[in-house]
Amino acid sequence: MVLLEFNKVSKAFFADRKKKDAFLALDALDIQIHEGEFVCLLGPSGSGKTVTLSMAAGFLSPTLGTVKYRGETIEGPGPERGVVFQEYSLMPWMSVKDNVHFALKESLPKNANLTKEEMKSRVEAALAAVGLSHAADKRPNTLSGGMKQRVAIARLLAMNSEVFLMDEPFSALDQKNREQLNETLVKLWKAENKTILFVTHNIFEAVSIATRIILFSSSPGRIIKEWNLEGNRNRDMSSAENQRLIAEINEAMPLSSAQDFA
Amino acid sequence: MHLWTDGEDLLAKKLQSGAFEDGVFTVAGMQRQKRLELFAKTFIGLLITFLLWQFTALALNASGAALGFPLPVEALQRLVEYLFTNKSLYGHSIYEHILASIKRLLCAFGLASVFGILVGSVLGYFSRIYHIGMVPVAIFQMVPGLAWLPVAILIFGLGDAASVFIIFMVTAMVITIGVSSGIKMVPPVYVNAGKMMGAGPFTIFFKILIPHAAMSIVNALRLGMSSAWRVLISAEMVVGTGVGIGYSIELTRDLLDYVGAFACILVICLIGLFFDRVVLAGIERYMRGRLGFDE
Repeated sequence: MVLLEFNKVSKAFFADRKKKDAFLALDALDIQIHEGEFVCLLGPSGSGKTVTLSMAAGFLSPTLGTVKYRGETIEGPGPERGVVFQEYSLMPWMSVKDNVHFALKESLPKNANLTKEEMKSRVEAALAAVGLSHAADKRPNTLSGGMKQRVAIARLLAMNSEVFLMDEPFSALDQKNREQLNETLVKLWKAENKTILFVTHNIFEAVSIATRIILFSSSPGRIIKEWNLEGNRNRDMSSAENQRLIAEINEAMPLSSAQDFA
Repeated sequence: MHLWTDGEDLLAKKLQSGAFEDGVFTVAGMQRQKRLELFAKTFIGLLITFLLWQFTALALNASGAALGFPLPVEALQRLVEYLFTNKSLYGHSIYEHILASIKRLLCAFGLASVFGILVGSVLGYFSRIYHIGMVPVAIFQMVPGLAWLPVAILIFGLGDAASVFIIFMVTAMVITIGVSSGIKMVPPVYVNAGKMMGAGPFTIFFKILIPHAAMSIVNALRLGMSSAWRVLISAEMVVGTGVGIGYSIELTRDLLDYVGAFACILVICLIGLFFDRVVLAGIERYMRGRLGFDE
């Protein structure tokens, strides 16, 4: 079924209140994301990928058109559409497991009655799934970047978010780390049957994780091309098939808009 | 060759420093070393201040520009007399004066802190009213403490309440500005993370914004405290409160008791430094460790 739907969505940012000077970030976007998909929003900087994700998350509303989750217009953020931000967002005064516990606690609806033990076991399971059981009592300022983002993912797992909205979560990490985290993410996606919307500007990353790649152009953001890929395909980047795909995407990838160089 | 020699010198210095225990660099050793260095630097700073005072006093007395400019030793001696021999300072012991001043300070500072944290939080959280709300705050902040005197006397008459009002007006504005900017400077990603988790506005405010802004809030309180202490002294001098350190300085002026005046100044400096460097700096250190902002 369709979980997230963008219907003719346009987003403009106005420089002044009189709405005369507008910057069109997205132009008449039409996207349907089905349950279980791993969709990569790929494109150069400034192509509106993050704006698209923010609208799915509920932080921004469209200027024109509607964004719907399970058929209902999105009014604001919520734990069913969990977000992993580009910047680190862990609370520095809480330990890793307290951070995950905090997310779980806040995400529960008022009528849910989880006992302390049940919450504890959910937190422990989430940390184990991202491989951080040994770091449960550490403070965020002692963690590496990759570990911090893994905790952010653990938060979403504990909250049982149906949709994972991830905004270039691994772009600040080195190659090896990124590849490892991509692998972990794909494993989690398969095991828990999550739906993931992943923003990146890295073609390799997109090809190694996605079941669908949507390529954006910049200023205004429009979809240029889409690729549908097998969920169980060979993810070895050196295979001929993947190499061909990478070359094809590279060909189609536009440069950043001229505004970036102004 | 030159580089090697440099390295040896540095190594020799490090080996001689207290950071080594049994030939091993320890964290405890490094902390002890830091404390010793801080103590030494503070001591040298105090010594220089003392020498500057001494030099100025001798120069002014010798040149005849100021007759009877108190020397540091004279002021210290008088202070010791006040503190330890129960010598009366215009009808009250120095402890009674100090207590009266501190009572006023804490009363005004307490009220100003509550006001500043409440109003500053509201202004910092709601960006729409921030610009509107900051206008009166900015205007009031421009008014120097003593300029509030006519307003204070009009409302409260001469006495304690008037001086507390003056201190409050200055301190509350300082704290409000500090708290509101602290709240505004919390990176939006933390608030967004809270919203994404489904946290309500109270949770976001008390469990996300306030802890993140805590260091700025403590800093605002420190600034407020030092403003309060300084305005207190001048307010006491002008309002004529009958008892208090500032009031005592005013009396020394009338009686040309300059040694007494300097003794009071020493007390003022000591108390001000105590509140800032011991009490509030201690709170700041505790918060810094507790909140995990230090590496």
